[in-house]
Parts: sequence; C-alpha cells; structure tokens
Amino acid sequence: MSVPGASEGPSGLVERRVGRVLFWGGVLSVAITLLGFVLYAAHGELSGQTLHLERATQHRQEGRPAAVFVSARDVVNGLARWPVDPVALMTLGLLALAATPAVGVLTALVTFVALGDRDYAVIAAIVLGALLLGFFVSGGAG
Amino acid sequence: MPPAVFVAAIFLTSVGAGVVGAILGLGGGILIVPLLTTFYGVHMHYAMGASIISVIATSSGAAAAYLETGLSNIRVGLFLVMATTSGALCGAALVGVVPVRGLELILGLALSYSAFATFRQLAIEVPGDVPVDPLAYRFRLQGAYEDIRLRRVVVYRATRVKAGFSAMFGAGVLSGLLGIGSGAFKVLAMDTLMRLPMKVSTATSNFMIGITASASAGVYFTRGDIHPLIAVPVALGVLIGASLGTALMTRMRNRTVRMLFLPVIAYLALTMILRGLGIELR
Repeated sequence: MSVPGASEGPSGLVERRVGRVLFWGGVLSVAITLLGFVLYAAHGELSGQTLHLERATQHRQEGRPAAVFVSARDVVNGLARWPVDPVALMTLGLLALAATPAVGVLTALVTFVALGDRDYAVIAAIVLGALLLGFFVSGGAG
Repeated sequence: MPPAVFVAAIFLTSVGAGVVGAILGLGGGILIVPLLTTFYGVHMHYAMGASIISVIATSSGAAAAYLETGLSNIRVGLFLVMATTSGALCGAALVGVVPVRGLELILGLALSYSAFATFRQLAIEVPGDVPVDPLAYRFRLQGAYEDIRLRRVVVYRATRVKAGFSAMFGAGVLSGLLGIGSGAFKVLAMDTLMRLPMKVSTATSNFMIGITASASAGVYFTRGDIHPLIAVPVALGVLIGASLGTALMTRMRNRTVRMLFLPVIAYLALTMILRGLGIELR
C-alpha cells in the first residue's frame, strides 16, 4: 500500500537508504571494535599489569590514561605501527560507530538532493554541519 | 579487581542494563552510568563517555529496523534533530563546567522522570484531529503508517511545532550533558506536545537518539572521556543485552514483569540524587 510517509514511494527511498547505512555502519564498526579487543586480549594485555585502567576511577585531570586517544592523529599513528596497536583499532571502531549517524544524515542529504526536495536537503545539511562541528571544532573544548 | 575480571564484569553488567533497558523502554545508557559509578567506582566522565557510545550502537540497530518499516518518520526526525543536536553540543560543552555532583543530581532526576514516563500507562490509541500548525504544513511534518493492531492506515500530522522544537532542544542538552539518549524526553515532546502517534514518536525518537548522541560523542572524544577499555565492553554488552531484551519483550509484555524492575530503577535514581546532594548510601 502506498501512503505518504510510509515505506513506499519517494519518501520510502530515503528511509530505506538511511536504514541500510545505519545497519551496515553499525555492523562494520562493531566488527572493527571487536577485532581490536580480541587482539588486545590475545596480546595478553588483559592478564598483565599493562591494562591502563588504573586511572579509570580517577578524575581525568589527574592524568590521561595511555589507552585513551583524543585525536584522530593518535589513532592513525597507532594503526600505522606494526603490529597494529589494538587500542587504536578499538578506538577506530568506536569513532566509526560515532560517525555512522553522520554518514546516515549525509546519505539523506544526497537522496533529498536527488529527489529535488530542497527544504529537507537544507535541513539535512544543517544537521550534518552541527555533527561536523561536534567532531572537529570542539577539539579545543576542555 | 584484576583487569580481565573488571572488563568481564562491566561487560556482563552492560548486558543486564541492555536487557532491562529494552524491556522497560528506557534504553541502556541511562542505567549504565549509575551502575558503573555506583558499583565499579568508574569516574562519572568515563561512564558517560561509554554510555554515549552504547546509545549510538543500540540506536543504529533499532533505527535501521524502524526506518525499513516506515514507522520512523525521517522528515519529522531530521527537522527536530536540528534542535536536539544544537542542545547536545551545548550540553556536552557544559560537562566540563558542571561539577560531578551536579551531573549526578541531574542524572538522578532524569532517571526518575524517565522511569515515571515509562511506567505511566501510555495511551496506545492514536490522536484524533489536531489543530493545523502552519509550520507542520510548511515542512510536511506528517505521514501515515499501517497499524497492524488497529487494522487500518493511520494518517497523522504534527501540531505545536514550536513547543516541540523547544522541548527537543532541552532533550538534546540532557543527552549531551549526561551521555544518555534521553529517549523518554524526546517521546514526551512528540507524543504530548506535537500529538504524534505513540508508535511514530517512539520509532522516530530511536532514529534521533543516535544522531543526537553522535553530536556530543565528538566532544566527549576530544576531551578524553571515551576510554576504549570501558566503552568497548559497555557498548558491546548493551548492544547484546538490548537485542536479548527486545526478543524477551515479545514473550513478557506484562506490566507486572516491568514492575519488578521498578525497585532497581528507584534505587539507582535515589543513589544518584543523594550523591548529587553529597550523601553517600554506603
């Protein structure tokens, strides 16, 4: 049955595309995260003293744990090493997960443009701008 | 506690939070923060960082399913998410400014309200005629879905858009400030203020939660609040737990079963409020 706003027709196209992006983005991110975690455990780091959880119960201003990455550059450096830093891989998965909704909004934006829906293309662009602001401009916060 | 045991324990706790969160419709995030801080002594900021990641994980899965069914209205969601993302960015920026006790107090109150909203008997019938709102007309904040239970196509249109938009900004602030999805507040704005059908409100809220959380996740990351060794087991645990809880829901959609969890929620909310007021229970 074709009804406005439901799963059929032009509006259904946006919903289907965004739905697929969210699903597969989530699956891929979780897979990367899980791989990093398995590598971390395989390196024996869960059983030794090298697990950097000692500051997990302290205030972050008392010193950032080595396992906490705060920039994309840290992550890239960790991934460029051999063997790959498993914590960097976990962080990559977490970042991919955090970015998945933004990719969903980008998909909506592209689809609205293709459908000629200018109002919602502009709205999607505003939302995407806010998400990018959170990722890039807030780097100096705190 | 040995590191491996610690990671295993927070993973299992997160599975439990995911199950209970899904059964109650609260989401795992609002439960995981008090659990990690109260029982494992994890710092509030790391707990919130892990929670915001788990919120995105669970929202992505649920939103994908709701979008496929057409129950989630992407136009309504994107229109309102302009308010929630702005609010989330403001809220996340305030995390470093508001003292931890203040955060605990606000979280306790938010948890209390969310529990109340979940347990109040939510009307499942669809709203009747609503006053015409020019903004809803201009931005086509409307839709239709086939309600299997009612055996008819339900056509709806939003009203009081300005009020709903303002409330969404507040929900976004809470999400960014506390690292939670604040789904109960989003549903409240859509259901009560904008008079959208409950099913559409819930499904659309699920879509919005992930985008809102994504806005503040960047701020949490750059501030160093996302500890992978806490966030990974929590996100995976809540995701697995939410899937289990959703599957269990079909078998135990019973109000009395939900009531069994009420003391747990009440305890967590009270603990957070008291800690926020500087009173330790133990």
